[in-house]
Amino acid sequence: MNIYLRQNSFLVPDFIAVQRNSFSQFLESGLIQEISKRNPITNSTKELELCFYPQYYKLSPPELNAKQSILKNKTYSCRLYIPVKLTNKRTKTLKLQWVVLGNLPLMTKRGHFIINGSPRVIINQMVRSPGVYFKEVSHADQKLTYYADLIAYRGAWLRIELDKKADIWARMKKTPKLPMLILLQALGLNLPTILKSLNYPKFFENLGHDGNFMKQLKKGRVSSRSSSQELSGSFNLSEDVSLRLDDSSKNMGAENVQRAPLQKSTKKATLFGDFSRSSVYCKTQEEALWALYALTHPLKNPDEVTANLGKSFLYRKFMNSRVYDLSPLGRLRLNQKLNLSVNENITTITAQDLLFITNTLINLNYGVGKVDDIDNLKNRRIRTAGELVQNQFGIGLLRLEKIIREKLKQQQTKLSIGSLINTKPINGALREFFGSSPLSQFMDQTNPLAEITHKRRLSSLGPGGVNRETAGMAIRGIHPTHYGRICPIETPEGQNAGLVNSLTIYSRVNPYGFIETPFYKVVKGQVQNSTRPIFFSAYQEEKKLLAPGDIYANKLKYLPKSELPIRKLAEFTRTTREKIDYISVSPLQMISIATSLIPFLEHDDANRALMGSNMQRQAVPLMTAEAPVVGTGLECRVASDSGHVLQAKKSGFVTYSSAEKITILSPVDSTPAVPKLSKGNNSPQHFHESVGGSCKESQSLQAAAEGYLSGVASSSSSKFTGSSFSTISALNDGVLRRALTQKVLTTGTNCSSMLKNQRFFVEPKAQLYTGAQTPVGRVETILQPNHAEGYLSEVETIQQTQNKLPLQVRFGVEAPKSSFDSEATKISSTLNSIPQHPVLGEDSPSKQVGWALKDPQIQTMLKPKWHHSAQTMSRENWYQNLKGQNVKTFTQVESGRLVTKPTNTKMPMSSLAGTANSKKTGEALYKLASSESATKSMDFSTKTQLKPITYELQKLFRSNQDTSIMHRPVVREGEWVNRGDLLADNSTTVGGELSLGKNLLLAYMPWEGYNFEDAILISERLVSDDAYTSLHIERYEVEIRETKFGLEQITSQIPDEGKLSHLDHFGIAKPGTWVEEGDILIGKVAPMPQKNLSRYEKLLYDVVGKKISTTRDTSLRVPRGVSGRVIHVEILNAENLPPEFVFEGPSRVNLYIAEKRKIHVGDKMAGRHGNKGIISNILPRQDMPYLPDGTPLDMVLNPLGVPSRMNVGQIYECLLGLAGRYLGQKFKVRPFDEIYGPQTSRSLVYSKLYEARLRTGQRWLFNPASPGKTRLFDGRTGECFSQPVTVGQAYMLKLIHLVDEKIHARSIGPYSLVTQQPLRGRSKHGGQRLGEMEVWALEGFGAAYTLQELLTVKSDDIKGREQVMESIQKNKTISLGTPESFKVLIRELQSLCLDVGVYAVDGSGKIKQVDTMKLP
Amino acid sequence: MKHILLSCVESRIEHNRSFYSRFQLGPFDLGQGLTVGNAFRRTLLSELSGVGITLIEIDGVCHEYSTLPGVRESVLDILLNLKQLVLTSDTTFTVPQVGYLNFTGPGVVTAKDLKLPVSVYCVDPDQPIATLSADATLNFKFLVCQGKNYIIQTPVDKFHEYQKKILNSKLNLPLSSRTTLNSTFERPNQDSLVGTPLQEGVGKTKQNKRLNAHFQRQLKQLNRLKETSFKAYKTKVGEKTISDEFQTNSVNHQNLTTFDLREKKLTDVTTSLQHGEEATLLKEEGLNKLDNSSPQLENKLKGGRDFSGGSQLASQALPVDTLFMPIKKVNYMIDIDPAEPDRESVVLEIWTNGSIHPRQAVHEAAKQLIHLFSPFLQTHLVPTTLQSTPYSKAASKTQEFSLNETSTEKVKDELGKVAFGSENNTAALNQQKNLVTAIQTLDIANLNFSLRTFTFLKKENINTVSELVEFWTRQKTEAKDSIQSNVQSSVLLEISNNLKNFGVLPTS
Repeated sequence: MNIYLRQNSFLVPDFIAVQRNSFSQFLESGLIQEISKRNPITNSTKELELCFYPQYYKLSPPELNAKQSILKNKTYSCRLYIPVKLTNKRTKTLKLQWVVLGNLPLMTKRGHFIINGSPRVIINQMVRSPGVYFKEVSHADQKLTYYADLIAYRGAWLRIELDKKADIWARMKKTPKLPMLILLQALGLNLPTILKSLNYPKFFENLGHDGNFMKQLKKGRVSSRSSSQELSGSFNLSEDVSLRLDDSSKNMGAENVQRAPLQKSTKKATLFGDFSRSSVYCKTQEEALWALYALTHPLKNPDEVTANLGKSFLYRKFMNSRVYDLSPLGRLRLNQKLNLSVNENITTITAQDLLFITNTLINLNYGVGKVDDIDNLKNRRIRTAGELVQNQFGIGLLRLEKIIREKLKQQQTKLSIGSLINTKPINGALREFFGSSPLSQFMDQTNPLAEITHKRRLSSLGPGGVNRETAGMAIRGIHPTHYGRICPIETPEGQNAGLVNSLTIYSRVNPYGFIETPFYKVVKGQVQNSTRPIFFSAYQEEKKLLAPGDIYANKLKYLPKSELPIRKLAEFTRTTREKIDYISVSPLQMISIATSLIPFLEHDDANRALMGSNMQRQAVPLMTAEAPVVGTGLECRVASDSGHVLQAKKSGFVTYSSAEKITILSPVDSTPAVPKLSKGNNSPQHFHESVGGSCKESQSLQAAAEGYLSGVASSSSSKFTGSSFSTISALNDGVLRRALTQKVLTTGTNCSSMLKNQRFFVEPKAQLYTGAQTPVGRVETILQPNHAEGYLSEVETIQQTQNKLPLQVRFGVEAPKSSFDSEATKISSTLNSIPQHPVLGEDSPSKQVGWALKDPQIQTMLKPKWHHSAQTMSRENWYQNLKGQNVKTFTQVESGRLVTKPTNTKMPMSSLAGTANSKKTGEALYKLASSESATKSMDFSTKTQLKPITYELQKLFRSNQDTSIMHRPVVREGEWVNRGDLLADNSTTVGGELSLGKNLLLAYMPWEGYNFEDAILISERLVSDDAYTSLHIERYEVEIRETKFGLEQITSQIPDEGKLSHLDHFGIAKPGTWVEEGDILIGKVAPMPQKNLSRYEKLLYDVVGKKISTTRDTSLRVPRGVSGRVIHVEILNAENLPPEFVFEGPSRVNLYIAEKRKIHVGDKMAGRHGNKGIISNILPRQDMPYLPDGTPLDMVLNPLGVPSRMNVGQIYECLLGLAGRYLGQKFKVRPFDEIYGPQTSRSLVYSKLYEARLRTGQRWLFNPASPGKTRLFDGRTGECFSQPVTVGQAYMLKLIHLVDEKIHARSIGPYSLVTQQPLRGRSKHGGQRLGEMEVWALEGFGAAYTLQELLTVKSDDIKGREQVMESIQKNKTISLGTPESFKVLIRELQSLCLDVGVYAVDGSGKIKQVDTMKLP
Repeated sequence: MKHILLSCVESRIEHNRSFYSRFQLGPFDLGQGLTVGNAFRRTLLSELSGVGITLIEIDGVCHEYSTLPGVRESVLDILLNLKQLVLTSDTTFTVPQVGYLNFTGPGVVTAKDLKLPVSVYCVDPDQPIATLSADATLNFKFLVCQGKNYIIQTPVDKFHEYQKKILNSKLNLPLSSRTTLNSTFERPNQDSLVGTPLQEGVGKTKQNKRLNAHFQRQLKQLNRLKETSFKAYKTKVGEKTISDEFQTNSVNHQNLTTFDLREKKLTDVTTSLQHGEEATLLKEEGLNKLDNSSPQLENKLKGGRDFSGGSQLASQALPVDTLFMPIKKVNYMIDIDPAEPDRESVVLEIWTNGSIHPRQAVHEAAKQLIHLFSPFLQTHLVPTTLQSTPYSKAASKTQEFSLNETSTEKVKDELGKVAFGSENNTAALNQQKNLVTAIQTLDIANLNFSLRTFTFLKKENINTVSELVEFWTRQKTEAKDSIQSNVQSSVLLEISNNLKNFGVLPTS
């Protein structure tokens, strides 16, 4: 019986795909779209026309790769080239040129950007989707009114509302409201049409101000000129009326307000009556336009108002597609909502839209229809990173267009394209966005999990979103549509709660920006999980009966017959299995990554689970990682998708493995994986010929073109095609970029008409890397099949400590045999080992190698079923893949898109020669060489059959949060690796499994108050064994500056400084030196003005033989509390220095210091269940309580931390961990295991403990009288504690809130310049505020002197504090000034009715009171 | 009274780095078991000393956060591996010793490749240090220290400077010819608990020179034997609970002795094998080569380069936070034999890391405990030296004094001699004299005065006991002369009481 039947055919999608897909979407279509919107740019006379050809845009390869950009503090970006055509219709000249539009920051393979050397993430924004929303307002008198908001993708905001008097108005920002009928008429509808279209035309008849209008209408009365005169006269009135009636209308000028009372009395019913009624209408469209303009521009003189103005106003606001854009989505949603069938290309408001909105609104008023729920996910869409960048790019283009128009206006002659186009607007716009948008965030890189969740974050904040201060409860809450889309658990605590969310593991974002989540069809109670799942957005899942993922389906995939819980819309009810339409794919469907890493999650209170998922992101990578004994199975997915571990791109065998690089020799297919790049050289020639040959229409043009093109030919061959080669080589660095994609010119644009029949570029056979659908930068990462499936099995035993991916032994699921109680568990230990990939050099290596080399296809067949890139390539492929046609997909990928580093043919030989020395490898190689196919492959010059791929390993590297990132090789030389196998671990993974903490033996018992209030007691073992030692790398930057007296200089010649031996001749600390607080890191001096010395001073200097220093020491020193080793020095070029300055030595230096931080008192630790605490004491191991077998505990937690927090999961984890410790097993426990019966978790834990007891013979492991509890002994006395104690092994994390960074004390220090009070903050060596309560305490205790000192010399008593030293030395009394706080104190005492004052004795001996406030 | 016995109930080698033994101590009177057991457990865990690598200088490495070309482990990992390394020594040494490693890839560098100083052996020859590729070499020298518990070092410690000096000064240290000591089981002293560890080493080299296939085969066989026997043993243990076994310990004991014997033979052979292997290795590499690439020479060369301002960074001595704890785990249980309900015995289980035999560990721990308690033996004697009166308070006072003021080892020893009432009377007399002078110069703060009296005396400028005695006698005489003094009688009384208690004044 396979209880995972349902899950087997579908797996968790890639975690970073959200980011990557959206950015590749931007590169593939968004960019082109955005530029096309600006085409063509003409001047007012339409003589000059500038046209972009965005389809052909190219990107230059970035100058620095991602890692270099970080080290050099640069942006990881490429230049965007685009062909531009300038036509002068008057002179009939045409120019065509490639121009640089700007620098486009690129997304790395891991889904972030690198801006000025720091990785940044563009987080996804959750906004209201364009469309129309109907809402109701309830008033104080229980009346309900309705309004509709028309939200556009871009452009003005329009609200149509019904007021209490049942009048209907249109409202815009910054304009007074106007009657709806007038707006509709102005848009060209006539009154009969309007009325006919309404479901309730009587709305206007009955509720109108008076029936006259209808009657007039029926009579067909023609409005006269005079009436419009009257009309104009009436406008002043109407303004005032509207002012009176609607206080909230803001835009009435101040003068109007003053005028209003005067004219109020003159209000009379005119032709139009008063405009406070919406049933006012106009005769014609013209009139309506006129009225519209007059109403919206109340300050305008009515005489100047014309119908044309009204028309242009409307156009400007709603009809211009450049300004107003509903977006296709908005159009679609409008159509859906209003049952319209407007063409989807019309993305502006039509009269029809408004008419039907009015209709719906009136319907609502009559009780027909429903209002919308804005928190429903069908009404909220995700703006992904690519879209955000695209928008910003559009803004840049808009600015560019403006500039171009200006320039076109100015000069008519001698226009060149180069002078028109400038990189500034686009660069500026992008820099603005990446640098300062609230959505572009400094990446949380504490550990890979933090990184991955940061990239999957959804924020409702930011431009176009909600405001954190004003956001109400509703928007922060969990909505039923969140199920499977947004995690209900993972959100920050505090002010952002509910506004910042996380995507769930299975969800994906569809092209419209809605989150979709998969479901299986249920037919007559049978789960159709052999077919592919169907993804539903919130809109699509409406009206469907959905069952949750934790219903147990039997062998035949039938759901139980009992009433099952289901959800329909927001309702949770029960129904029979026949009625169920769909069922969730997995019980984990509704939670996010970090949450799904919590074992026994279902036993934790949501609040604590929230903390648990948030705190895992804060775990510091430890020096020696250790995978959790109790995990959930998703650990390996997080690790692999984070991109922090190294995986084999191709199968092969390892010829070299060191901490710096790994080389894998892999067989190559006969079809080249890399497109023939040499062809690229031909392309410009073709270009040249074809363009030259075809421009027959005008000779001059041709000549010009030829001249130009020849230039391009040479340049492009060097610049573009040449670089394209390096592009590919750089792909190995995890680079996301649009390579120099070249496509055939398509017809249909302006350009093509000119260049008809000519081939603009030669199409290379294979698209480089960025195919139409392939998200760029996805170098295939495949999971180890073991892992992929491993996730699905609930409990797994993993035999430990292979250096490789842990060999996983699965528990076959059978009827309970060895289980402790009858309903215990459905797991027995049928051990069924999945062998690892064959290792060369053992049993029969030659055979295996030979086999692998001969038939790479077989290797392919052996590939995991699941294939990441398949999913990202295209959906069809993916599903095919799922159906089992994976081989095909795989080969496609191999031949078409897999890009490998071009190899240096010399290298393999040397590496082979090198490795031949190795005994094992040498042997393997020998066998390899002796086999027939291999001998062929050794001939590298002719047919490359074997090809080495070198993987550069990440050396110790600094993350954004100063934690360390590094690779540790996992493979050994001579091993065979399959594609996707783990090659190197990250600092937070072990065998490809995310491992953020350590498994500790802990007990829940009080220990002399040392674990009171969440404090934690730990054993000294954790210190001595370096269990929680973490590496932190800090960066220090110095740049020379220009001072008043000249330029600073980085030098080792520092005046009056003793310790300089650790500096090199530049004055920079040498790598490897140990530096302590106060040591010079980078020696820097600033020039000082020459001092004028008196003669004897000069003499003195001469006698002593000392020169007067002309410089001042401004060196960078090691800050307080820091000591470590200098590990890296980076010398950069100055940025803020004008280029004309000449200087000696380096101008800008970055220096890295690595620090080892052992755990100590004050550090914060946490489990995965939100159980956090601070270390309060570290006991030697002999003092710790110990188990009946003598093992001392590692940690003692407070038992009171559990009941009130309701995070019982930690107890389960801890007990199962204990069983794992004694059984030598690891467990993958998927949360929500109650599918398999009641109390499954408990039964599992107990049965495992019992098994451990049986196997080890340690009876205390499971005591039926107090299951899970053990008698402990006090290490100090050796006596048994009076009660049995819960003991177990739990996974504990060390969080980045380390005391070393927080510990702080000050006796004296800097003062603020203005207030002369002590500075605040540790970084500035500031003081702690002595607030009023502290003052009260001192007052209360009568600690007068302490209070005096703190209020005076320790505060802003400038004179006093300068004299303190002197007074002490000369044994004088300390004189005091009068600080501000003293005055406050006096006032306070006075306010307590105490007669306190300051008195002074004047010359005559009289005592006189001084005004306290006038004291100096 | 029955003799107190220490008997080994069970002993096994779980693997090279884990030795286990179970002892039965006793019988004791009721209640003593806990005293002994707990004292043993705590002492074993905290007081035993071990040997470890404390400092290392790797060629071409200037900081621990770098990597070496062709080496699979980063320097940090190598340091961690060295920290894990279990070493042992048959002598005690106070000065750190220097060792070397010279290894050219490809291959796995393990503990047996280390050139350890004389009398230092590694316990598990297969303990990995690094994995090298064909193009890699690993040369380093290191310091081996003896210590207790663990140390955390930073390069600014004085100890670090001292170690660096040693590391760079000693050019020609005798290296141990045999690098591994597979098992401390090999060591004798089975019968007697007290005894000095044997000096061994030099003689054994000769017999280790041979290496051939025969040995290899034998090794394999033995290993298999070892495994199976261990397995068998384990299963047996697994079936029973510990308490069960206690009851049947006589049987076990027999089993164990045979097991032990086998074990002993086995280890002997393996060690000899390894020595041989090492010898051939040396032969292969050639001693000349070794000499040429000795780190000192290279360092000298490098130093020269550095002086002239070369760009290459000098390799640095990197501190290792060493663990010296040889005991992994200790457990004890108090067992009362139903046949003899007024006696109890302690069952002591010890797991060591292989650097020390559990029996040895018990011995060491006992020694440490005796050492710890020995000063308290002296307390009997002190009053007799002062020839004074009431035993109680004065004794404790002097004791405190002698421990506080003259805490040097030498004085203690002398005291000890006196305490044990040795025949040498003159020495005792000298000692007595010393003590008396010491008391005379003792600060009055050591006496039990009330604050008022104390401040009064201080104001009178009376600081030492002798001054106090003088003052007191003066006051006495003044009182006799019935001259009114401002000294109140209560103060005087307090002084006299105190002095009497202290034994300086006669009671009368």
